[in-house]
Amino acid sequence: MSRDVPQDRQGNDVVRYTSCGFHCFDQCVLKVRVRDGRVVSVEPDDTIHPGTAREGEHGPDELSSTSMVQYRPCPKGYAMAHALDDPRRVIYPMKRVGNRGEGKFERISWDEALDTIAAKLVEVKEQYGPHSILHQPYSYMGWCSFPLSRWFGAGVAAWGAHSANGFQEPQNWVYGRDIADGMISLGHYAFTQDETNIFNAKLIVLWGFNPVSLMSSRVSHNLLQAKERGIPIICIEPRYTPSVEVLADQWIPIRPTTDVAMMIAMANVWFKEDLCDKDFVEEWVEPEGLEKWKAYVLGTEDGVDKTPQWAETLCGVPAETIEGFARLYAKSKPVNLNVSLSMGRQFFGENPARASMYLQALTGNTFIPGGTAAVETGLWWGRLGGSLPRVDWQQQRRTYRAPVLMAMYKWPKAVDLREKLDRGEISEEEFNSSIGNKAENPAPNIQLVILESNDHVNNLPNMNQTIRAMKKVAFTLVFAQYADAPAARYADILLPQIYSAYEGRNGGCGLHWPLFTTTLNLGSHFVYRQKCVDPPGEVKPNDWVWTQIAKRLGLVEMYNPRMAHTADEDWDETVEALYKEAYEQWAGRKDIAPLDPPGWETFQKRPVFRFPMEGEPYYPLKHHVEAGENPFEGTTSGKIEFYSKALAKGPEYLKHNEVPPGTGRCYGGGNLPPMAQMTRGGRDTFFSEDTKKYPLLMSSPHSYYRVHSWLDNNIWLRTDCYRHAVWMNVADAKSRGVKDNDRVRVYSDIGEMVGPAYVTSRIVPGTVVIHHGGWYVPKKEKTELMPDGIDNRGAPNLFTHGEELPDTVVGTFPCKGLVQVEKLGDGE
Amino acid sequence: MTQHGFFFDQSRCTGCQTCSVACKNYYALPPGPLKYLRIYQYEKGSFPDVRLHTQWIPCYHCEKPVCADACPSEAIYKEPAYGAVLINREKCDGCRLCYDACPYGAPVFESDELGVRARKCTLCIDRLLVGEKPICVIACPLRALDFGPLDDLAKVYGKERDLEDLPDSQATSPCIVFKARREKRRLVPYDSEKALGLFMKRDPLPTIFTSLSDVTEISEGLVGRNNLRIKHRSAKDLLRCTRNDEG
Ligand code: SF4
Ligand code: SF4
Ligand code: SF4
Repeated sequence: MSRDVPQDRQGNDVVRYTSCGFHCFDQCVLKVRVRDGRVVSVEPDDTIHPGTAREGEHGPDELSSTSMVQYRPCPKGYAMAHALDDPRRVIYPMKRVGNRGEGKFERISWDEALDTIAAKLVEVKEQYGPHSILHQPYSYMGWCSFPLSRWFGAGVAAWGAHSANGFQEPQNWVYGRDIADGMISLGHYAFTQDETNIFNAKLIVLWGFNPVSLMSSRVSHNLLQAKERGIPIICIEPRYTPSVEVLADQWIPIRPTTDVAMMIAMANVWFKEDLCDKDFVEEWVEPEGLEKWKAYVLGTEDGVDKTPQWAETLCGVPAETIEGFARLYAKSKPVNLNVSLSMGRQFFGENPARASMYLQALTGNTFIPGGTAAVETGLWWGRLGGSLPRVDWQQQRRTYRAPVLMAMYKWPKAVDLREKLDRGEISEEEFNSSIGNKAENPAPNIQLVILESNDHVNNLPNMNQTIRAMKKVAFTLVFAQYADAPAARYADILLPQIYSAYEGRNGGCGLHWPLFTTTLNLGSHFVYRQKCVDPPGEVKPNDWVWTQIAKRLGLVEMYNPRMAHTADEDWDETVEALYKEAYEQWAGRKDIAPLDPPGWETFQKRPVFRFPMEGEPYYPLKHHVEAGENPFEGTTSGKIEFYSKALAKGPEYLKHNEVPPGTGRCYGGGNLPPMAQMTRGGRDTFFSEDTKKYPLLMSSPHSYYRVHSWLDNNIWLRTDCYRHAVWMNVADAKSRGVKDNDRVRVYSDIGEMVGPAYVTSRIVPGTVVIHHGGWYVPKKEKTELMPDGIDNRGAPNLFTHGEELPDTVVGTFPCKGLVQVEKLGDGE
Repeated sequence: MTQHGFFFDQSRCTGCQTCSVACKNYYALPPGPLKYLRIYQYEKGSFPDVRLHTQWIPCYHCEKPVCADACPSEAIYKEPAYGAVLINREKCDGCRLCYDACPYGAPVFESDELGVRARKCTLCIDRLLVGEKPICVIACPLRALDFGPLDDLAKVYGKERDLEDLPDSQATSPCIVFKARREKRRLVPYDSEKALGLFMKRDPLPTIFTSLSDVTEISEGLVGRNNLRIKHRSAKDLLRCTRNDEG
């Protein structure tokens, strides 16, 4: 089985290169050794500086300044290869034989699967109208990801996003433009920074940001280099993470959901000690709104002076620390503030999001070299983002545009409430307001749900609600690698999901990421993902699947005209040829030719294109600054706005939202203060009244060993590298009689699980952590709360609420929840 | 022979286990206790004055390989070109005396069954022979590792062969140069005791805990991973100790 001398270098090994390609920010370079059609090993990037341990450095790495370095994978990159021939894998189309949720399937032919899907699409559209078909998880940011929607004439679009949601709307209010803006015009990505911008900072702040876990390759290495160059790094976080240990000079522990109080108190210090950047503020901040916020901060209206003493009882951060940090911040220009997007994923998450933007504005750090605009942390698209080669699929013009009818994560709610609407128990306006739909829009009736790509059942807040919805709708189609994956259990038709990094050719005609891929956090390189092996069984590329369905619906000439008549056995080759064409067109472009890209055949030997990031790194809004444009023209005043007049209108604003700034896609119910403020109480916050019943605030940060829920069942990681456990502070464990590795029961009014406890001093008392992406693995034991069985693994979304109304705007995508923990038994 | 060895920069190591997983992948080692390279992560101190330590333990290919001395079958030998300490699997009869002798617990076994032969990090001898560096060393995303002739490493990185919590290097002369984790720099004032007082209360709601000692007094067995144990009583114990809780 194992071998001491593994690699028969004289033998028939073929070396291929790819990148992980599963929702990861990094897209590291994987060198894949293939023998007899199987992957025998994955090795780190050697497409530059081969055989080098530290790439020429024996101290701070100067090469990092140009980013001409290797993209070394994390453990996931190596472990994924083992999944390819995992005997548990789904390798044929399947149909459900038991009830939804039982996870019983039997093999069917592709013809039967595709015929059924095509027939169901037609049937549901006829019976329920065009607003009945939902494809997730990428129907978001105003988009409908159902690949055939545009010609089939059905489908629903949604606003918001899983990722940046809590920051997206606040960006519109404060800056007048948002992330969706940037996603569409990649190359002119307004708020990003080159990774090398951090080297120009005098102080780096990682606020709730644990890059070692999420962006382990380039971002973490760069931050390490910054630290070794002596740039001070402070980490404000509820946990002592590996990022704190390795990257930060100092840890300031803080209670989750209270960060905004600390931010407000910092501004209080600046106002009182006259530490703001007056010139910047005068030129760029809208004065009336600033005065209003200042009045709130200094308490001239409500009589509460929001001093560090006021904040310390909320945050748990001593007043002297807040003061000291505020002073250091004000005198350390440029400050590179990196606020984790997760801070927006909580009730009132829009508040810390806005406040962090205010901090940078008050100190004049918003758009200077070394600074940040405090948004899109880690999304450092860099310089090639918009300029990758792209295949021209020659799809036909759309005949249908799916309307935006909900917040993206509200669809289970839309299914849940639809019956009430049909029975006349709620009005259409109430229905719309609950799901983030405009009052005057049609009410969607979701009856056909397609889940393709990451496990949407596992990854949405309030999993039990999602499960209920999956059981109610007329038809469900799920693509998955495992039949016991949480979403797969609820499929009517289960299609095998290809590992696009290694197998077959998912060209990117439909939803899937193209074969040219770059990091979300850099962008002076891209990788062409070569095919390494054939997929097992009857696994097919997603593009192939949708092309076959399109044929059955008579839409193939519209959806995929260039491959409409491609025979199955020619599929991969044809995709490759289209990529070659795209690459050659790209290489000939006037702006690209000077970078001297190699010819296709040479490129295929080491299919990674890099170029040195020379000159001044991109900092937020640099393009605007250089062109002498006003970057804030999207706001009413043309300046950075601390106070939103639109929000000041109260709930009416969201019902009919005619938001002038930005993309303005935020609709529905809710009422949010017009400027950032600290809201005590409110659901699932540290000071909620509900803590009397469920006293521990759970957060669900990213895991080192999964991307969302991918790889949770990978035994090379799961049992070898980590224990998926419930993090508890020593004090909380003691008072419950719990010691490390004891089995504990975690529960709230919406979910229940059992699992081992990790007792540690690395987490703030009164809080627990269950890492995101742990699968819902039901036990036989069923309860009213857990009709499909109590969770035996630890899926944090069993405890995250989706119910924020009427306190806060409907778009928040919460990753926190209140729970109680009790001991079940001693550890082994 | 030019004795080769490793460099490990503890101040850069996040405990991510990439090196260990890459090694397993390259040598097609099955999931489980057969870890040629073990990563240990453990905390010290109490909230909020806590630190996280990591240890990086392959075989250190010692200059005084006590494992070889202990082996009654003479299965362990020092390889002549690089000074790698290797196990001749034909000769090994699975008595585990090498394991008992090695202060670092480097020999590993696929299971607890008696007679299972010892396996161990090979210094990637097969790679060295074709001019490549060990796979773990070139895999580290944070570039915490290096490899080369021991003398060269000493010139570049210094002579430190000991690291806090590891056995004294005198016993075996392990072929590794260490750089220890850094002391933290306090950039802004922080009064831990005051902070604890603040973390205790959730006014006007009930308190979170009742006295500071609830947080700071830690009895044996309460906290997971707050000491380093690198010699294991069983395969299960090895796995338990070499996992972390970051997932
Ligand atoms: S890969 Fe590097 S950072 Fe990760 S555990 Fe190994 S030595 Fe440490
Ligand atoms: S580390 Fe242990 S097994 Fe390796 S050479 Fe030294 S004594 Fe022998
Ligand atoms: S030197 Fe080679 S065999 Fe030894 S731990 Fe590193 S990768 Fe594994």
